[in-house]
Amino acid sequence: MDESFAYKGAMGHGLEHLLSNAEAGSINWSEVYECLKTPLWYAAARGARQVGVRDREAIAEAVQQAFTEFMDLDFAKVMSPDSIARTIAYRRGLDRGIAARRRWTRETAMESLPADLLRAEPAQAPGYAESAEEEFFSVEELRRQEERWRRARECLDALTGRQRRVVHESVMRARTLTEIGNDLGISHTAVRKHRQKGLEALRRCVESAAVP
Amino acid sequence: MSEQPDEMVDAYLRHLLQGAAAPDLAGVDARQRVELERTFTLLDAVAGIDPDLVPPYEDDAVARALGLSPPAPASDLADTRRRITREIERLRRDALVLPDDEAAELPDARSDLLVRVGGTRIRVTVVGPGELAHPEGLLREADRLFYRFPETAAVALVAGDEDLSTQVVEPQDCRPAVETPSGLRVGPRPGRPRLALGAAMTSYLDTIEPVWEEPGTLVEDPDRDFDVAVVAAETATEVVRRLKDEAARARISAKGIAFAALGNYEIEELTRLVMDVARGHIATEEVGERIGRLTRDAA
Repeated sequence: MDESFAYKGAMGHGLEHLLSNAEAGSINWSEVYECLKTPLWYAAARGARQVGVRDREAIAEAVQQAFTEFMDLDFAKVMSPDSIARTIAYRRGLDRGIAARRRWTRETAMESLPADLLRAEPAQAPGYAESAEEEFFSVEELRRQEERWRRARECLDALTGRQRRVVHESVMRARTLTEIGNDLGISHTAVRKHRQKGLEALRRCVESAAVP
Repeated sequence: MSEQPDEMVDAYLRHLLQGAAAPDLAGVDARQRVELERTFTLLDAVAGIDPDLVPPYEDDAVARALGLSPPAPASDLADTRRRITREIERLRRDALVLPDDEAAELPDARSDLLVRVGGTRIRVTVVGPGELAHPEGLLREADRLFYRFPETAAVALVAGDEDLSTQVVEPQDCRPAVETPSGLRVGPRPGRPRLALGAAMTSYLDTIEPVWEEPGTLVEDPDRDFDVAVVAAETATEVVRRLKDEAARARISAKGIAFAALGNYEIEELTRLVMDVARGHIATEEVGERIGRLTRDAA
């Protein structure tokens, strides 16, 4: 896997080059966003997934907030802007995920419970971080995962049509095997077999790219 | 992976996506464990994250909310380079336009094309929409180019708009200077106006690499007859004709009347005067006297 992969803006310039105009206040933010788009969206999605949320709207809100915070940074003092961007986006993804879960829990509770029982904050589901700030994660590991995900997107094309569909739907979009089986008109067991084969092929493809 | 317990994969997906406990691999034999761990590493990266997660610019609600305009796509950049090349070649200055491969190797050098005209090297940088309105950063980048490539005479900052708006900058534009006579520190600032690419390059090249026109050939005709009397008569006739023309436009009426009255007598007198001067028949001081007499007669 090429760990040195760096996204560039539409004009072909890297992030550091684009941010070199920070002192003059003439940064082309559209270009910067283009550079950071994939890292921001991936990090926010990973943050949200950490608390079991895959809601696109919540992820988009996290990306927007993260990029807004990124624009306010003093780049003269920032050593690795892309790492900072990933860190902020992950945190905001986590925050938005937690907020979304609380909202859903409250809404669900309000539908089913009498108002006098809603005085206390609904409990978090087990296994999720209570506070985004306490959640530990390694930005380097996040970067590696993003790289694997990017490679996996490309490797999906190497799978058979049915394997691709099943892996995409069951692993990446988290649909149940039964739902997918119903869509494809095949049994749950057959879907499971396609997922097995597909995951194996996908893993080999991603790993072959990882080891030159 | 066919030998892996598939339930472990299910459990790990539930762990990643629903917050359930991670499966315990303690009871799994070593070979299967390695396989499973590699699969889990992949799942860590991809589970629950849609491959189409990152929206294209036109569907990107975040970019819209932040008021970011879509940057020119790479295909537009290639198109802009082609237009610039065409436009420069159209100037007919024997310019050679090449991709700037040297600059491409340096991370902080922003130059797309290299233009060679005679001994002059001009680097061309394609800039984004609106960037020319705030040239401070561009001047700093151009200064880096002058530093890296001292043979560069100028940098043309070209926007990919319809006119290919261009700001040509030279090394002195990219550094602060002390202005005389005020003694104030000024700049960096562009010294030339922003023009369409053709006009900007022509204006710059006219200064630094002027096109010299071929001089006209002087043809000497050794057999040509040269009669001083004829030339003098022709010149005198022309002078009088011109004065009579001016009479019609004269604001002072006396002047108009005097000029209008000029005729053959004056032509003959002027011709005679030229002949006498040519043959050395009169002294210099006499010329003024005879012209004065002629003027008085005309009046």
